[in-house]
Amino acid sequence: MKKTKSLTEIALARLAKNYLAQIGFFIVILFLAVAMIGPVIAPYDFLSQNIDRALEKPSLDHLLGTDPMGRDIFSRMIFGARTAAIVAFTTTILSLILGILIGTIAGFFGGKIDSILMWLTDVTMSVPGLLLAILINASIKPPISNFFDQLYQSTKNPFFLNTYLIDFVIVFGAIALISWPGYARIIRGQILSLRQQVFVEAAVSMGSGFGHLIRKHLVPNAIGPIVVTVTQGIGAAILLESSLSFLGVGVQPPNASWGSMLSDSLSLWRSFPHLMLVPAVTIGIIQIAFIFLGDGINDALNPKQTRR
Amino acid sequence: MKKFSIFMVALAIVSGQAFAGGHKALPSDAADEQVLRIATSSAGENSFIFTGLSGGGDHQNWQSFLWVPPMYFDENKELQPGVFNKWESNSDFTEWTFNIDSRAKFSDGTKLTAQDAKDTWEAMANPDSRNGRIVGYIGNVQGFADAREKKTDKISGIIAEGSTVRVKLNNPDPIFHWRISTAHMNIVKGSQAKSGINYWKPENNPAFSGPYVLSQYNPDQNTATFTPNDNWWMDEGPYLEKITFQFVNDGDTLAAMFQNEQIDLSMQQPSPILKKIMPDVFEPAPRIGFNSFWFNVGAAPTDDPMVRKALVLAIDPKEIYKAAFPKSQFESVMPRQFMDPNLQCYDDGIVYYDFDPEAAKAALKASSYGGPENLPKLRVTPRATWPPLKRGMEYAMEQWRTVLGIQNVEFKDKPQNFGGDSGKVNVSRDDVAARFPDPAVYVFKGTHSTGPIASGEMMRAYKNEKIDMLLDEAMMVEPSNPKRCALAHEAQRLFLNDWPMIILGKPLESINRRGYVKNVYSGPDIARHAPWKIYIAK
Amino acid sequence: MIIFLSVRLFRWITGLLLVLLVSYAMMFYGGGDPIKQMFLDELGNTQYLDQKMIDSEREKYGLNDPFIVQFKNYLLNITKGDWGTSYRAQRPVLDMIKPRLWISIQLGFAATVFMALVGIPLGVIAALFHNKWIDLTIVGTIVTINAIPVFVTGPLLLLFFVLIVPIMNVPYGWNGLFDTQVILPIIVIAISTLPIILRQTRTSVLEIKNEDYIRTARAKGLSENKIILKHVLRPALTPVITSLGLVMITLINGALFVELIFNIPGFGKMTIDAIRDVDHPLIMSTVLVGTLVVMGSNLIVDAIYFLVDPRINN
Repeated sequence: MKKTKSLTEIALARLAKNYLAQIGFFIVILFLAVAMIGPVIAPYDFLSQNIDRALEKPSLDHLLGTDPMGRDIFSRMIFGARTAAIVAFTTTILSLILGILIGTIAGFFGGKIDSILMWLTDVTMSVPGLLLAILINASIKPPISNFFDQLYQSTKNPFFLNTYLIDFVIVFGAIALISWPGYARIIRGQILSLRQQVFVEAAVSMGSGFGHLIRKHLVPNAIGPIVVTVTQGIGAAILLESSLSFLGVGVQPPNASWGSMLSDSLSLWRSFPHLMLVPAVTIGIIQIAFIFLGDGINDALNPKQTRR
Repeated sequence: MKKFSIFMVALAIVSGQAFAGGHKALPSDAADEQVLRIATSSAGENSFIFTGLSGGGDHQNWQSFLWVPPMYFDENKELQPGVFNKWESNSDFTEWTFNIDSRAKFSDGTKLTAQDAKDTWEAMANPDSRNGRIVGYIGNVQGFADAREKKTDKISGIIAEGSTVRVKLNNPDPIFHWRISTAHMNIVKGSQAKSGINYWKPENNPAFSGPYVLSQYNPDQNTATFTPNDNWWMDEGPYLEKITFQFVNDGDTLAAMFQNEQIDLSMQQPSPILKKIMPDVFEPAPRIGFNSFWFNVGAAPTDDPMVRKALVLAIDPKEIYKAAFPKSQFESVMPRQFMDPNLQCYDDGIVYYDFDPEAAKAALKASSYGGPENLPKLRVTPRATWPPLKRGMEYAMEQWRTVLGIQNVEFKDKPQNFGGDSGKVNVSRDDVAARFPDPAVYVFKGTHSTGPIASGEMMRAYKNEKIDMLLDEAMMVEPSNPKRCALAHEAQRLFLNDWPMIILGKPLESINRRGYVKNVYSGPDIARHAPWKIYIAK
Repeated sequence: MIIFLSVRLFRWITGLLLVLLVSYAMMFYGGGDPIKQMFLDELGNTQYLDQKMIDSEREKYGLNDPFIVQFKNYLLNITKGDWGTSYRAQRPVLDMIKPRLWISIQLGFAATVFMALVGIPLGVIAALFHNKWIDLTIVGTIVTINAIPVFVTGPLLLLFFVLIVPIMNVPYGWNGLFDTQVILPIIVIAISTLPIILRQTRTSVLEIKNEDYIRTARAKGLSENKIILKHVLRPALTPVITSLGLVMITLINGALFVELIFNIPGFGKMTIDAIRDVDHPLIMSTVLVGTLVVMGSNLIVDAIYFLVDPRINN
């Protein structure tokens, strides 16, 4: 490999050879596209019911059949993609930002600051997440949703009508609040081991700046594990949403999510397996796609494996 | 062949106990092994308890195995003697006398006395026993209110005289004897009833008057075992050598256990798929009452009758019922009025309303809000995670959106998820149940301002003076007098005119048991009655 | 050593207090009314409460006191060893938690062992055959199984093994760790976290395989097996152990769905019931125990960390 090639070019070249990562990439792109333009391509309104055509098997009219309310499952899945995307990205990005911030501060400053931040990390990690989500749902959400209601009553702006947004911001924001320690630990660990390495000391003694250090050494080293954790986190968030729906805390009707479609179908799956199969398989495919993509990026970015 | 026997270990604990005494000749078709395996579920594994005093919950419904009720309604809704074998009242129904069966005794060999009945009911009246239903049963007895307020631990209106219990009432009640004909009024040994809430645990040597006794109880494993009562005092039974209880939460798991012959009888409804595979498991049980969505008349916007009317008329009663209980899953009766078809003097000519979107829109327009734009937020909850109830609510929300244009609706599956706003919930679900087939009492529970629906969390202080007057009068009329019926019907008519609710319906409830379990009976009281007759056929 | 431990202990206690305070506040302000919850049946139907009964019960449990008083009383009682009595079950909370926690710990531990025994070797194999078909098959299979929620795989497997290939009965209850009926639950629990370990092992083996000193060793002519055993596995296991600790926490606290489907009377199920019943003493005890379990696991992980990777010491 030529030395003149930049890291990005090497990464892209490696990525181009990794077919699994490419498949993952295309599925993720498709997923994001559907999430964005969903309502345009959906054949039916995801809410419109037709009780006389309830629980139909897949047909040309209804590609994936209908649910017990006679709603088109395909259209609901398309709307659910939006839900899943928002859930996954809200949770992951929020916790990533928190984690990077706290991990970096702890790693670079060390000493008392490090020990206090690590204490906070330990404490946060020991909070039972499910419990937190359920309690937050009841304690913090009502006042905020009332505030939104007041905004709607005074402005009549339909934006404030949407309890959907509150569901996400509060419940999944809460999950983000307790899931940052994973990222913080990775970042801190990378910085600590970096500080001990010879080339860093050499770089510092040669007078290179803080920013240079981060750009040149920390980012390339930390980005691999972070990408893997982020892709895992996105998959986990989609799964977590379904678990919360199972416990009745997640996205509430009339909005649709893959998780709530799955948990609603659990009592019927032995009679109508397609009700459960469709969301379960979709969740599976999306998760695998993210994992393949993450692994591919990790392999591509990892400089240790690059320079043979 | 199954490789593993799940029950061996659990059973080994009690298998040392030999089957002795009180054993009557088995019916001719009985199997050699008389072991009944019951699955039970309840409001959560933390409430796997068998106290006879708290009146309510799934486990209370198995307590007819442990204690014989005062009297009971059988599967034909006819009154049968239990611990009390004679009952009579004075001419104006203010004083009732009950005679205790001279054979009645407890498992420790002591006779069941009138004093036991008095002590038990006094213990139930004490709020510490957590019996929330007792007011509906003996709330009309003289001195009850004082005992409820803990001013005294005696109820002056209950008089124990040897083998008779005399009860003096504040107001005439021609059906007082019906009210106490439930497993919720089981008579416990008096000294134990007053000795604290844990008296029933095997380590405290509890005495039982029923055909079986609680011989093993493990709240950590959620298992219990009943064995025959050596001092059983009726002529028939008990036939079973042993009854094992397990706590099973999941409907699909329960169905698999039925299919796999691990379970013979359950109170909880298994997943509907079982009905297709093993129809013999389901036998209809005549329960009274169904689920409805009730409007909170104390919170905006449902305090406005026109809003309620709009919300009701926008719902197609046939469709909401189909959405909740799809034909392929449930057998059920579609309700068109408040009263239940299993009640006397039910008149199927009465129809609450028909779907009328135009009238619904007009009603919303005529309301104080003038239309959907200014309507404050509606908070709705089915108060349970059972899918049919959620589907019913989802159907209603969609109808309100498409017919009325109402989008400002917040859904939570449980009222506590509204946090501090749980008092402002506009629509929530509950059922009105009755344990004996009397339409006046049923209507009273649902509509009278002191009833649980009107005064409780459903409607939050609904009061209609006329209804109260009609029902107060009906309560004093004998059931055989057609006037009682007429008064109840008039009260129902007035109530429905107030647009108080959306009727959802209820699937036919059933006794869930394998075909070889014989003589399992269930009447309007949810408890299985006459459990001494149960046996396992070949 | 003593200083290290006492600092550690101080961190724990302050952390625990913070967690308890936050949980208590959320439960207090947002949990709902425990007295009303006490009288709901399985369909959430009310049991005809009258105000007198509510008042009597509220008084009995001290629920009319202000928040600070209640929290202070709670802490005082905890220090005296009194964890309170469950509102719903009317039993001492400690008696309820002990057997359930023990079951969950056994299950979690067994699942962790199973997972490590399966996950680490598979991860190493996958890394050694990086991007060959073996690698793809292993990663693909595990990831696919894992991508479906436990509450879907659980019932499917249960039904499959009970009714279609009838080799077992529906598991019920808990007959100890060495009973055959725990096999299926353990596998289902382990599946949920297997990919984390597998991928972690695979990634770190891949990384270390390309480190300079490994190439030096290879250049020195050491056999490939020896290199893997001696130089690759040990450092590669460090991050694996970190995630193993996290995973065990997930398993003990999060086996909820498995406990639900397989009728196992464990800790997760009790937690959910406690929250649903707004059973204050029980909720707080599950928070307390859950936090302690996590902290304990972290300590064990730290200790193993020291042993496995001496580099961390400096």
